[in-house]
Amino acid sequence: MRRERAPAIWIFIAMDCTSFGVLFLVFMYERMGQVALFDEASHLLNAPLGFFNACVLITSSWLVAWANIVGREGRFDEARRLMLAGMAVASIFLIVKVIEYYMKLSVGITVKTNAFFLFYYALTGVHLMHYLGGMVILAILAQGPSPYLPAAEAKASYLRWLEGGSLYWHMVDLLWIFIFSILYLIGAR
Amino acid sequence: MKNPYRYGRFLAWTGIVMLLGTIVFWGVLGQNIPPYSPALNADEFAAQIRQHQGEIRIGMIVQLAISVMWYTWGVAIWMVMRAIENENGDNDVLSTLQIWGAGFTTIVFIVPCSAWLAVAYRPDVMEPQTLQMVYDFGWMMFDCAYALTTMQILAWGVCVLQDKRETPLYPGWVVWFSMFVVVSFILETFMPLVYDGPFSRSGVVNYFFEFGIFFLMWVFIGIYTLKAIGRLQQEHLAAHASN
Repeated sequence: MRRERAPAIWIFIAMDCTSFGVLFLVFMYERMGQVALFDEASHLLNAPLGFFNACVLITSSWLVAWANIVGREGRFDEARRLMLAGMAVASIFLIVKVIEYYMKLSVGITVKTNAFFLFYYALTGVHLMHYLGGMVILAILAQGPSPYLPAAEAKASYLRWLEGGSLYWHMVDLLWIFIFSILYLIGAR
Repeated sequence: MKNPYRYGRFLAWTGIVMLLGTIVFWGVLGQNIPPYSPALNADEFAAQIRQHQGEIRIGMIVQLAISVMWYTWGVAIWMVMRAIENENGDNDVLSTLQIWGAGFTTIVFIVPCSAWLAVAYRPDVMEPQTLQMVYDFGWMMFDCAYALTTMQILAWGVCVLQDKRETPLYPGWVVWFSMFVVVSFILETFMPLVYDGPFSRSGVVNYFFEFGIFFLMWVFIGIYTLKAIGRLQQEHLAAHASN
């Protein structure tokens, strides 16, 4: 057997968080030059909706973490159902995000409105791509262990990917909390 | 005894040769470290091109010639992937996606470099706005056609993560780092929407950060592909010696 490799996904997570960290730093740097504009623009965001979405992702993350616990106990059917539940809850995030984008675009707030909204669309857009990638990963994990591999190998492989996929999903959740804090709350009245 | 990895090391080296060539010809001579800012007005931009037309022409002529090496390097990576797929009894979907991604990425080098070569061909008699438009076109394709390379590297990553060796042919950190790099290309989506700042083609995020990690990825995959071909050859020799 080769060495356990699941922790290597931490490289991806660390780098991804670093790249968001770079974006946050650039945002803060740009904000220093035009504090009034950034604060004024942030008042146009709907903080309760952003908070609601944070709660949605945390709940989804909790279900995914639960799937890991039951998966380690060998209860794969239950793990699959929890993954599906996690996806169902997380789908609310997408609906809210689409509504939020629609509310902004319908009053003419686009990526070109000002520097704040460039960051708003960039940060939330890139996060949304991560979210969509995460939903695909959860959907794959919701299929359960591969029926094409020997049972022991399939279960070991499934648990490794379950852990890796869940770590990624927690990152998506964590990043939203940072984005919410930086975009919606800094400068809020 | 036949060698199934014949030509492999040569092809793996082409990736490293292209990497070094790209730094010199696309980067230094091509005036792309960093590229001209989209915030320059057409006259300022044209003045820069006229001043550096000789270097840009040499840089782009050579870059056009060496860009095929992205594809030949992709064939070396394909050889490693096929070995893993065969060992696992898998189909060839991932290696096929990878090699098509490598081929298409070659075009992402060739077409923009042709545009930049055209800009430097006779800038003294061309309208500044025309020069700027062709130059912009090159950068739009170079930055925004990232999905072709993303497909290539993700297919490679998913395949080599299934390598069951005690010491995998590609270390996990190289694979996950590279997959991060190609996922982070999403940020280039914002490049055509701005003329200055961090997301512009010469900005801190979409140039310095994105291109910095892209070249780092190229170095890592380049070194480990070379090592992987060598290891596969050794494994093959050892298997035949013991038979």
